[in-house]
Amino acid sequence: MRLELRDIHFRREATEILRGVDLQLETGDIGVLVGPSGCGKTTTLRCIAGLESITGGEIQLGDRIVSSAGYSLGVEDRRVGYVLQDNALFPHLTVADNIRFGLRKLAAEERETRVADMLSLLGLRGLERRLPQDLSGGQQQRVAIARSLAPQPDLLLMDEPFSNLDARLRTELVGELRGLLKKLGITTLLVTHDQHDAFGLADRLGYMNDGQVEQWDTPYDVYHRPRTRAVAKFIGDGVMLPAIGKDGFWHTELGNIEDPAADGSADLLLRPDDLLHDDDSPTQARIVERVFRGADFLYTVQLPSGLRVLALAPSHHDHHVGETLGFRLANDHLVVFRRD
Amino acid sequence: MLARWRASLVILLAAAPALVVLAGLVGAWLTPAGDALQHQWRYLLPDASRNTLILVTVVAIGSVLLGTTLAALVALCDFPGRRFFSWGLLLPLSIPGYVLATVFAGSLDYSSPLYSWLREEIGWQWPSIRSLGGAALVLTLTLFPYVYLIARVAFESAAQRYLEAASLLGRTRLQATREVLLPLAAPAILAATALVAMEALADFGVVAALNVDTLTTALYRAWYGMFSLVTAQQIAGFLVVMALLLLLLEQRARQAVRMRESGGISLRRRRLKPLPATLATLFATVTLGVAFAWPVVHLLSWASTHVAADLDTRYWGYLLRSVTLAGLGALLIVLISTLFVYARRADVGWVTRGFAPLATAGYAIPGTVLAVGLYAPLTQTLPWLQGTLFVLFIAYITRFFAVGHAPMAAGLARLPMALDEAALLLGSRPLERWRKIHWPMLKGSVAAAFVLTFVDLMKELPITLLTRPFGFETLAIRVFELTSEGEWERAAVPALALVLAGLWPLKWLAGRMSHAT
Repeated sequence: MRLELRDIHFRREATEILRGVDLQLETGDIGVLVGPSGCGKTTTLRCIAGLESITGGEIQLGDRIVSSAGYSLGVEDRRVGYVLQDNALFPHLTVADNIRFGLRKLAAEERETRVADMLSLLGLRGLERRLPQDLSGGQQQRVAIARSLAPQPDLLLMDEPFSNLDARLRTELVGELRGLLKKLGITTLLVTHDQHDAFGLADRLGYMNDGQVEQWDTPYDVYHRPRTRAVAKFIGDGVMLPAIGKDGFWHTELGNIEDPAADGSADLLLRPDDLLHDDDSPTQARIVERVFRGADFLYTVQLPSGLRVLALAPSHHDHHVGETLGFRLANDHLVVFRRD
Repeated sequence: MLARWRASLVILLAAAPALVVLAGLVGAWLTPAGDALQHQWRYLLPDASRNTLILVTVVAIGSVLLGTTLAALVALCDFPGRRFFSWGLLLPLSIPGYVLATVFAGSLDYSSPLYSWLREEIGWQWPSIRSLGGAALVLTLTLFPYVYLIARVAFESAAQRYLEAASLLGRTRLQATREVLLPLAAPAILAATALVAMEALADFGVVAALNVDTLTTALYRAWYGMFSLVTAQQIAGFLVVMALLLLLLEQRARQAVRMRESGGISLRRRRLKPLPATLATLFATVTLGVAFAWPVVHLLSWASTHVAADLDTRYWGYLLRSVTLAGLGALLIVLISTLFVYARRADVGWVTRGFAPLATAGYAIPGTVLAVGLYAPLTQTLPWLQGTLFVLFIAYITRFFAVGHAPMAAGLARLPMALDEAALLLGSRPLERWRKIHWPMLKGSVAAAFVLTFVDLMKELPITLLTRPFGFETLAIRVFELTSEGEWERAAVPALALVLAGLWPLKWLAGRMSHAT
């Protein structure tokens, strides 16, 4: 079901935690919110679920306003599933009873079918009589997802669903989860601090900072066309390259870049993949740090001005700290942040 | 190897009294029944056993209802006075059961002004407090705070996220409390209930003051009235079997509690609407009024009329003896439990693992049973112990060892071996390690252990009564004697001293109970 947040404000005591949050999520889409801790991601989810009452704005689910200033539809009546951070599985109930918990309004027969469906959908067959404490982290995660999905909510919210898992399990579950959510066609809003999870899952990616959504776009656009410096900094690696605009060119330490709009002083966002290693290039700089990442090297090189930039090189280009490295600009589009 | 041998010896010595008592009881059961016991069997024991069973059951149920309801109100809701009641509901713990029984007997007796007024003006006769029901009421009012405290801590530590998860799955707050919070807290409440049942089973002072025949009073009479050791020991056997069953229940429940531990943001209280809030305040006020305020006011007014006549030099003697017994006993218990926790830490051999639980299980054994079970074998083997305080102290240590042991064990648990190893690697000497690391971290626990045992020993009645040298009187004994003579008002002065002492450790008690869950 379609979700829309319009100018959400939330205040706890004197602190304004949400300062005008806007976002729209179309039916069946997966939205992901990223951002530094304390930016209001979790609070946004809690407001959507009705666990917090907003102090301004409107939350619309389908064609129904569920929250506005002074009004809040009861949590238990919202039909929103929420996988809470660290799962909150009831420790005294078995896997099956946990999943069954939200199904008491169904007839007994239908209820058992639903539980069985959920168990097989999430690969939990055979674990129905176990208690949560006897499950691995990944299994607990699946039970929590199954429990939230079982009542067939109109919207699924997930808060850091992978935070307790190791890296391998994480990658595995991210892929599985996207497949599952798409199969069920369920509208989902997820919060994470890990951008790899975000890229793997999102149809829409939002960057939150200081109680506001600074950008709400496709993951591709958030990465390649960041709207603010904060977004550029948080998503992906990158360096700001000072530039002076004159005569249709940006003049930088790494050479001149054509841009009809070039004017005044600005910073250009330079991603590691915008700088390619090239031994024959006239631009040379000293390597100050290198990280071997398996498939490639990520070099940090220092320009004569002291500015450090990142450059990617294929795995067999093994240079050492202190050597000079040749490279050239290979950016196919420009991200310009003007200085005022 | 030497360390292990020494550690095992400490543990064995600590467990020895319980072993002696149990062995004596088994021996008594193997002895053929004499005339005295046949008399008991026929005329006394059926009634006494029945009364004991009813008493324990009613007190357990009453404490659960009262304690859990109050705990749920204080932990989950907000109402006027909540912050005060949160700790205020522990105040009844400072009143020993037999003191409350004295107050109730004195103020609600047939000849009391209140009762006469009700009978003459309103024409209503309420049932006598000197009955099984009265004893159950008194014990419930003094013991419910145990359930209240443990249940409150269990409710408060159940994380907010469980309530939220339940409401996201379509439950109202009340439904979520019933379906999630209550089952989560159930093991802790069960453990507390078992503890309360043990105390009710062990009670001697209340039933004696209210003239109710139970197994403990039957044992007292067999011992004092008929001088029949075998009979007393056989009755004691009954009590011990019941106590051990309760102990088993408590231990099982505690294991379940450990599996339920949950972290996370604690509960947000819900503000009650005016009418329920008023009812909640009223309920807590009435409970606290009946269990604490009213008896204290009565004691104060009685004491003020009798203090001039009664407070003579003899009272300094009672006070001195009470404080000496309690102080010395507490000191011994702190010393032994310190040795004990270190021995347990140093050694995980089978002797330690097997006998350590026995040493800490003494609190389950009623004081009357310990007194009889230790006095007879010890004075028979070493007759010169008669007329000394030796048996009394051994029984004190056995029954109250767990009270001192709990804070010491909790304290030492905060001192992992790695800390010792770190200090050792930095070149410290043993004495220096104790002075600079162990003592600063343990002194709080030592103080808590001392105060908690001290106050429990001040209030202790049956062991003191049964094992003291002839004519040796303490404050508790004085209250008991005056009560059995019907001189309730004169018992107020020594009783107040005990209540005052009981107020002292409430802070620690709250801490200890929350550690226990």
